[in-house]
Amino acid sequence: MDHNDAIQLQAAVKYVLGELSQVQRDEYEEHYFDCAECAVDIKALATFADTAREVLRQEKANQLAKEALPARGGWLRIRIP
Amino acid sequence: MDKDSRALRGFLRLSSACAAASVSPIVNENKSHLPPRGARRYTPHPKSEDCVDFFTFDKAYVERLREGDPSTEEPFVGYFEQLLRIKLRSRMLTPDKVEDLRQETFIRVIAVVRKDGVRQPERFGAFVNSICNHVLLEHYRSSAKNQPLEDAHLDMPDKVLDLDGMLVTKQSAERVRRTLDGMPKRDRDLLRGIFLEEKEKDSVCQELGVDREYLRVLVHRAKDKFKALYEKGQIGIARRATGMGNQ
Repeated sequence: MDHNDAIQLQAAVKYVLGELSQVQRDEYEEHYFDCAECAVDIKALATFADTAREVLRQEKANQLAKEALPARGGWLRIRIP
Repeated sequence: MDKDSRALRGFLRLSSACAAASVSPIVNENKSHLPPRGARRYTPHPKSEDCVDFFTFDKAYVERLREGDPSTEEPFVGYFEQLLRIKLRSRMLTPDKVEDLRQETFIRVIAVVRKDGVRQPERFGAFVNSICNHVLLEHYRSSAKNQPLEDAHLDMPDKVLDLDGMLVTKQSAERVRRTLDGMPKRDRDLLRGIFLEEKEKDSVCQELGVDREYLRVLVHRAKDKFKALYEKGQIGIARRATGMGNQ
């Protein structure tokens, strides 16, 4: 796989989404280890996917914590500034 | 002292090359080529995202690596540690196993570079990848002997890459927040379904009335926006590291 093949195939996105066949995955890996541009691309994508998961998880946890608070005027309100 | 021992000792200097790297004892046994029990091993810098990786592979680079030049070893580790982690995690291995195999790959690369050199220095990246493939293959073989059917070995297509928060830093979290904040609710819901809730991609797309191509384009655009912020950070770090920021 060369750089143009990788771009046309949308290989980076498909790799992170797990949509490449095993053969395509192996070829793409051989390519991105050797191509500085694709290496930055795959690092950015993997970091984005990984971080988005953590950020969204945190948002969900905050949302659940908010919902768990008693209604305004409840006795716990005294303890919460 | 034989050549392999010298190579390993040289590799272990990589540990001190990254100033803030932490250390942990070796846990993998029955591998004669690994450092002895109690030896220290390289653990990635907690801010490995910030390692500078602007350099080219050529004969001179490989020669410097062979000689154990610390200013070459450090960026070498910085450049490949994340690529190796991404590759190994795509095999659905446990985080501990990923770190073991990544470490093993580094050790072997250094050993081969010092013993035999690299035939095509300009394709050094492909060489590192091939060493990692060998390490993976050996891992599969040895696991197959001990465990006839280990889930970790199964190829799991259509599974989103999960790095278990390995690449998350405060900076990247802030950049992702900025990227997500600029998205419509539907797009955020789509990413939440895929990345967080790990639902079937087809069913999430169907629920939100989009197709798989839309999902790919969304992820691609989000990556581009994130990458712009990411590269800005990398360039700033590179300038600081090379002293160019003061000029």
